[in-house]
Amino acid sequence: MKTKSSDLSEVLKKYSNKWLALDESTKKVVSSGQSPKEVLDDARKKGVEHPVLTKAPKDYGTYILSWTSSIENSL
Amino acid sequence: MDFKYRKFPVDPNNNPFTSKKHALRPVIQITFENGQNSFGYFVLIDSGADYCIFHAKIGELLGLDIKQGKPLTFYGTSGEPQKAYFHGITFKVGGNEHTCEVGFSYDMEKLAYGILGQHGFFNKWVVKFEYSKENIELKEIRR
Repeated sequence: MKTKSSDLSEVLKKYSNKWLALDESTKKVVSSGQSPKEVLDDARKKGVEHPVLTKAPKDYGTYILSWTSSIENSL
Repeated sequence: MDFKYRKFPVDPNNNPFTSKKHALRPVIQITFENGQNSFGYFVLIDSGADYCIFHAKIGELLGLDIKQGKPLTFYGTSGEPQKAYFHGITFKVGGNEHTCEVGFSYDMEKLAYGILGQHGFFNKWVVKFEYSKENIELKEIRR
């Protein structure tokens, strides 16, 4: 089945609690590891100079964010 | 500029809607360009967030001394306080250069994406969400 690059539901679901480097055009995972630096360096060693970085959470659960703030210093 | 919503995995053991096979989210790619150190990063456009918050480790990759930034305590739905440190940075949104202040947080490690919130993003772009068309339209506000 051909997967559109905007559909990451299959390619990401095998990863948990890892930083990932994806090929910018195919959106395939080229490296996974514990830090963005590690996967960025590894992706470049594999010839992917400008990867896309993201974090695979422990599980993909549900996102309900909407953060509010208490400002210590006014921005 | 138009961007497509992206589909992400759902946890089959934590899913009250069994027909829902993926999560559709307004997540776009931004790009940092700093000579040879160029890379993309996924960010969630979150109209409910007061500020833009990225992973601190991404800030470290950009060469920032994270804790030298302006501090902020913020709260998610859990109510637990989290800390971020703001720095002025530049990145590209669909090829357009965008400069704003972003909070970098070591408390974001459990989350998948950076956050584009009101201050720093919605005050600079008109954002039109069209979930049914899986499309996000961005128009830069010219001043």
